[in-house]
Amino acid sequence: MRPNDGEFRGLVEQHQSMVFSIALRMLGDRGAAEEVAQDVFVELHRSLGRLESEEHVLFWLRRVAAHRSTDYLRRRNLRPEFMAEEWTEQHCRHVDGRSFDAIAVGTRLEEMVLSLPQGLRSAIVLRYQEEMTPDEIAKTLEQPVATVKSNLQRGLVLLRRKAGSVLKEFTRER
Amino acid sequence: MSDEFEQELKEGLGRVPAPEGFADRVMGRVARNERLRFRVMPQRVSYAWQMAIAAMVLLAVLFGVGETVHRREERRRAELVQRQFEVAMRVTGRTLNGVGERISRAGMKDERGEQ
Repeated sequence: MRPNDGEFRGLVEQHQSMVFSIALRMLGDRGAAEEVAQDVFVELHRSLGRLESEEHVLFWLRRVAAHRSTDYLRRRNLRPEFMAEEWTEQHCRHVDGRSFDAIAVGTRLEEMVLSLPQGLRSAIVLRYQEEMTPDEIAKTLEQPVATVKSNLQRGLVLLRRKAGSVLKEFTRER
Repeated sequence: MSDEFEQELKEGLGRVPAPEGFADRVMGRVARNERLRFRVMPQRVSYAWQMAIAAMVLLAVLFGVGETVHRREERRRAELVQRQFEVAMRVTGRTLNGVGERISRAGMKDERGEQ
């Protein structure tokens, strides 16, 4: 692909929400997520010559967004759960068009996802945010399908366990 | 099969909009030909390579174990042959002693006969 500036801008606008959301769910910090997402698109601009189609671009963006977010966590040795409180407050200000309850429940789900170990989190984010199949996730994360399926199962078990206590607490607060 | 909880996850983890002006900032960086802010970590070792490396390590370990077992077996055989040789030498020594004694006894009888 050899798009001009206008076409590249179109690609950025088309995929910015996806790339930013993957980074945000992996990192739990809007500032860091924007930095990583910008880097992903700058890298895309350099790599476009090697990408053959729109589908290839989508696959590449998901893979690079997941890998760069993981790299960021490894480099900074970040544990997103420590930032969950701050992130919740920021996030609530940015989400429009949803009722307070929906935002609160959604935010708690996101906090729970952020508290998962990184390997499980990336599989869960790609499965439920991007609605990808285990096969697609395996290709994206360059992992065996069995590993992805096991990570998804373990992630779900942990999330269900957390949801049991967190959502009870939420109902009491309301 | 997707249950109610998974459905809630899908709804709760929908995409969020990128920050205002995101595309402008990306285009600005592209126009300035800016470097990546974060160094790209070395390429992950692919699953195929991991398996190949694991297979090579396994083969090396198996070869090492096989070689050790083979050497131990050879040493055991050599010790057995050595013991058999020593026994054979003792038996031969004893036999030769017996033969020597018999010859000396026969020699003494002959001397007495001649006298």
